[in-house]
Amino acid sequence: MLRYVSPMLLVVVAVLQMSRAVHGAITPSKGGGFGMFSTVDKYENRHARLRIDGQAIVLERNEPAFHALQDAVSAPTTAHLDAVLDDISTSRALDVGQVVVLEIYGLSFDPATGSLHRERLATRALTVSP
Amino acid sequence: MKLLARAWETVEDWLNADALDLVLKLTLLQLLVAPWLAGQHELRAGALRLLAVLGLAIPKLHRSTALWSVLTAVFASKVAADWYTQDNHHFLFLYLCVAAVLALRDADPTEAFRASARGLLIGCFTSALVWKGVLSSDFRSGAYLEYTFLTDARFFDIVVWLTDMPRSLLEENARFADLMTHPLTTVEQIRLHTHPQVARLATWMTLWTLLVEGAIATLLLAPATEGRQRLALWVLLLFSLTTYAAIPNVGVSFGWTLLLLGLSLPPESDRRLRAGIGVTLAWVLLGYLIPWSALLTEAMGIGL
Repeated sequence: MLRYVSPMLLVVVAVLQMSRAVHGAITPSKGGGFGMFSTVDKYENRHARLRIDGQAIVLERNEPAFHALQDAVSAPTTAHLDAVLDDISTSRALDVGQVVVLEIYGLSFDPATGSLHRERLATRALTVSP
Repeated sequence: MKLLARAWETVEDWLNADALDLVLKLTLLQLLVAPWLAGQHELRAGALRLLAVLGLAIPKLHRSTALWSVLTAVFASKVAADWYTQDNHHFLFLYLCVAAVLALRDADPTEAFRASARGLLIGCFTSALVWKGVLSSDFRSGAYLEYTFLTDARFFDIVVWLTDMPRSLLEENARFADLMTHPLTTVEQIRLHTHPQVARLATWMTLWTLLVEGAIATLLLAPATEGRQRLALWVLLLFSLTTYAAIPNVGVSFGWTLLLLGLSLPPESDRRLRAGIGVTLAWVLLGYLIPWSALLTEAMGIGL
């Protein structure tokens, strides 16, 4: 029986990942579902757009919110988006009333025209409270 | 002459060795060769590499349940910490480690690992097939591979060899794609340079991928017979030789893990198949260490 533990683990993780990916909760290319090299909607084709009071900002790799941002780009759930916004408001010591907006985008490709489109996958905003 | 005799001795050792011994040693070697596996977290990566070196350097330690338990625990902590950004090869490598730990505790470790490896190959190729053939309309239509051939620099050598698409336009496409994913971009849409020959190449490669991955999954899923399993492994070698020539970095991570699982399957008497797997492992590794396609393209002046 122990011989099949490892394959069963693979199947459980893959089925859960497929189900989440189909509902848009994670990119097909990450999370153990073996969907790499299957769709334009891969992690590398996604990106985040962050604004504080309308001013676009870029997170550096060494910022505390960077890891949470990577998770949010791969799996743009409300919990992941909120984690990024909370980390930013804390680490950048934002003032009460300032607004942080996070948008996650992906790409789609139309082979008939050669057009590459940017598509918004998720948006979340936080107004810093006292 | 002595060198030749020594080389032949090494080949003989490879052909006669216990399958699980080979898999365990080569998995430890893979941790040292493929930097993506160990990752960027210094402490974890250092621990994984140290365990790999110890396992290879100290005789018989590569079969130690304790070594594989610690290695598996460290690798599992890496996968858990970065779950949403881990690639397929991280998960597959973890499953291989789990299979190794459990097999080493079994009364017949080689047979136990063989059963796990077959299950892992079935799960992996079936999942990939479900994505490519069912869930992803991008893949079925050929759009994914056409987009990849047009924008992913790793495939440019192959594209300029097989089509009349100029490299300069492919490089411009790659810049367009980068622009579209820049955090400060405001561009909503861009038109890539396309070519009917690239679209045709994408269609053929889509069919080839579905056919070859489907064949491996079907042959392994069907009731196990020696002939069917042998054929599945030869198709796996064909898949590895053709696929990882274009993407050698994926070859030493994902490709090697697939091949190591495959290495455990054939009976030890099947020297031809074992030699084929050895040659393919070496081919994938050499493809990673030597950028042969870029060198060849430059030497022949193709697509400039």
